[in-house]
Amino acid sequence: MAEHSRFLALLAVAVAAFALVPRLGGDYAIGVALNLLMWIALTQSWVVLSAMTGYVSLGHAVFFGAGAYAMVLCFGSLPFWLSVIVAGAATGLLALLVGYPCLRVRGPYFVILTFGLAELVKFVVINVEAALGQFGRLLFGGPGLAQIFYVVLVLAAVSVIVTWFVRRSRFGAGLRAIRENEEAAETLGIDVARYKVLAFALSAIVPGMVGAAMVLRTTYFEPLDLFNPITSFTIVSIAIIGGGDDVPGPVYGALFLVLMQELLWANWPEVYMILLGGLLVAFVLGVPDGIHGRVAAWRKARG
Amino acid sequence: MLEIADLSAGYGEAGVLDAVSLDVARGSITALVGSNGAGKTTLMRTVAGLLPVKAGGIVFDGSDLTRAAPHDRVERGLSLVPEGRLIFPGFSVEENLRAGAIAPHARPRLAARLEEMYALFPILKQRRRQPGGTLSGGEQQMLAIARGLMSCPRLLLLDEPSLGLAPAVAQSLFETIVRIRGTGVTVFVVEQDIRSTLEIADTAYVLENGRIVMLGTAADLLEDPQVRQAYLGL
Repeated sequence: MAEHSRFLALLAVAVAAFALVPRLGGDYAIGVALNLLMWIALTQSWVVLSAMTGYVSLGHAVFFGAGAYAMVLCFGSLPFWLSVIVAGAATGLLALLVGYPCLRVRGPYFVILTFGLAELVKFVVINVEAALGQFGRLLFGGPGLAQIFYVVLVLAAVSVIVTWFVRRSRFGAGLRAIRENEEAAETLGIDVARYKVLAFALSAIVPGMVGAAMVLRTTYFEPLDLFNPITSFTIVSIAIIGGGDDVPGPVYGALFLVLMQELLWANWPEVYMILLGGLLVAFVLGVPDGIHGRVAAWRKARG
Repeated sequence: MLEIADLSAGYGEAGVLDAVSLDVARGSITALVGSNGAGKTTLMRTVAGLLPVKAGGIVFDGSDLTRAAPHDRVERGLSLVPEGRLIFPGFSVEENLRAGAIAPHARPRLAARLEEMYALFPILKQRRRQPGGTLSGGEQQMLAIARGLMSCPRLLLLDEPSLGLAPAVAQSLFETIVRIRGTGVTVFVVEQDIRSTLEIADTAYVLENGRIVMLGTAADLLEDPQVRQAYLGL
């Protein structure tokens, strides 16, 4: 219980600090903080499925993009906040529908399947838009940057809370048991099919809502951008750099990545991707348990 | 308590079990023995619901389990300790045990059950904070059995518990099985170590090429010339 109250207090302080950014900082500061919160929200959601169960999704961009598309379809007819909720419901439902067949395969097959699924949905949306005679949609008259920021701040907080409580629940213990040994988990009475599909749906809702909010920032809907596989790759990279199957990993990873982006992008834009790729290789080879694993080991050593 | 009637099962098209029938009496230690490839593990996996039944039926405590999902079978009091132990290597010993009580009916008894398991296997209490993967083979088998008992089963299925254990460790394992029966749990064990198994079992079945070829009290089978020649090398 003490652990929960300390976590919630820390979270409240962090949310309050972020809430001050639009009041104190300019558009640049808001942009950087928004970027950070977005990656935290996306990666926390990914952790619930992939870090806990070991079913690595390389297609989480599909939920980001589908949420953005839901926002586009609602745009003008529903209020902003309601559209965000609709987007979350839609991507959760999408995950429930595709989850059952997808989660029957394991290991590399699941990885490739999620990647393929994201590409499939992307091209379906492109073709639907073409059939509708739409080639990139402009979204004028949406909410301002500060309003988008507050929505993504709430989503990041929600994703952190979800990861925290799932990680400490019976459900989370079941998900981690599936990762350790799925057959053993089944013999202990864990309904593995249901657990995996629920985790998949849970990991899809917040990314859909984040996509819905973020598409309004660019005021332009282009499927190739919103379903960009780089989004999926970045989520996995942040999770690897951050490490672990708990709340701190994605926070460390996103902080690290966003700082690097700002530093490298500003100073050496031409080698930014090369450096990022090099860092990822270094982490996988040298720090397989990520920043979180190193911090935990360091704390333990200090007693 | 467990009645298996004309059970056929296997992997894909290939049939492994051919019309197997056997009964496990309440409160007994019942053994199924046989050589490699006889179909012993297939039978255990089918009873636990990990493999579908092709023909025949499984009845447990009067209710039909033939088509029940694995988690339903755990809920009704059946627990399998799988071949090769399959403990969770990254979980601590205590986390492994807690995961064993994840079924809804086992949750309220978790704390008490954990103490019972530590009393039954004191070595696990000493190692409670250690990752399961760092235990020795014998300790891992104890952990796997304790984890299987955490769901408070009425029938415990043990699949090759002595596999890969040093003879002395295996011997203490067989003694543990007798102690488990003493706590009121019925035990159905599949083994290749036929002599040790027959020494602790009440009833035994001999499986060969997916068929039951012999059955009787364990004491009778130990004295049976055919068994002595084919399986005990006497």
